[in-house]
Amino acid sequence: MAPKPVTVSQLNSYIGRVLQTDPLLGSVSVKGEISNLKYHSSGHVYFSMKDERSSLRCFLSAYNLEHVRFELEEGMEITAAGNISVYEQGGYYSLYVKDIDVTGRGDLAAAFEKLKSRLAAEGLFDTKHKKEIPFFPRRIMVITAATGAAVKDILKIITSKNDCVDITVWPVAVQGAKAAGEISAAIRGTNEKYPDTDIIITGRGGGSIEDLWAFNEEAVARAIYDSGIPVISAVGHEIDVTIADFVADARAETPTAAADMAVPDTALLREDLDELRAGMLDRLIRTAETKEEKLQALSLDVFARNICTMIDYHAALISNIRDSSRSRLLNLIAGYENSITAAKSHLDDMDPRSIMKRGYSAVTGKNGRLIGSTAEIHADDELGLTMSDGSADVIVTSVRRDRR
Amino acid sequence: MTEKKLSFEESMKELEKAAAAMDRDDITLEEALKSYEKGIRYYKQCAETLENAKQKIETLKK
Repeated sequence: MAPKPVTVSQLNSYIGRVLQTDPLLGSVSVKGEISNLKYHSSGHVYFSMKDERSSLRCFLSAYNLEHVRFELEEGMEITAAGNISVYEQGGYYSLYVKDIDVTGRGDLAAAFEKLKSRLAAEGLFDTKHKKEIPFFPRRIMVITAATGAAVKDILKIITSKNDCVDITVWPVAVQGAKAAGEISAAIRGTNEKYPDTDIIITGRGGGSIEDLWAFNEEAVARAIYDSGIPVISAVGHEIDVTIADFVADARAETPTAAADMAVPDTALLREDLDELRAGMLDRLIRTAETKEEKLQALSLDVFARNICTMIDYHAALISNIRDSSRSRLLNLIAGYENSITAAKSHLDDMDPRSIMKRGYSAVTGKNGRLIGSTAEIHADDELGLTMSDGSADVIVTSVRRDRR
Repeated sequence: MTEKKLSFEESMKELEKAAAAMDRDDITLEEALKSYEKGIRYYKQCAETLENAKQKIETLKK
């Protein structure tokens, strides 16, 4: 006889109870490939896991998503841990996922690229957000494993270069599921509890991509981005590049390099300081000496010497001018004397007495005027005769006029 | 005049500036003296920072 019929709800509820009490299904780990990945606006994630033959519905709550260390992507090979639970209204079962691990190496690279492009799009890597690493830090927080090569290298390099800066080590797990949480908590804790810290160095030594994975997790990236204190990332070797490197204010290729870039060499600084001081003193003395030389050049002796030279120069100039004017004057006088002599000899030639000496006489009228023409004289006129050695009064007896 | 406490880097820059100012050929003796005194003040600040800092290294409890 057929059993007593039950309602759909009753059946689904019963199946739910059976599956819940099953010891195996309460904690199961499943391998498979992600498909039909859907991020719901509520923050929950729905997807399927499948292999060649079969498919499994999966549900990842927003709360558990926060603990997932990888960006999920379609086709990614994962191992999901959780429990099987029945969705009674739909009448199907799902894997309620608590944690996910990525198994394929290529899939890790894909998860890395996906987070990288998401954070890049959000602007977390923008250079405008990068803070300058202070030149002379007073306090450095080192967030890394308490033991291991990284912390030893960092302490060794810093203390060998710089004997001023205080160093605090905040020990954290640097690999495994808890690492990202501890690292990000330490970064945030430094900002809150040790706000006088000048630089945070966070990182670890080399390892596999899985070992370094904490530095590829969003929690660490966010903490670095939110840090008001500049962060230097120092993860692995030269070739290892992590998300933390992109978001950090400075990326060091290794922990050693991070230590080196974080602090100045205090011995060199002391040398520089002393050189600067000595240079200034030197310069001051030289300036004073130069000024003294200039002052000496301005002393009375030199002034007097300069004035005498000036006077001598001008005296010579004046004497030259005087000499040349005198000779010009003498020349002028000599010239006048010559002209006067010439004029005198000319005058001598014109003297009537010299003509008279040659036998000529001058005839004058009663008034003493010279008479040069017979037209002026008549018979019985009384005239004077002047000769070279005297004169005579004469009477004209007759006048003969030459015919012209 | 009260001067705000400069960082080491700022003091070092001021010191370098003062030293560079003294390199000018046309500087007067008075200016040179002023620059020198200023430079020495910054030098002392830097030197004190270097001498007074006693490096501490500690590891926080986990």
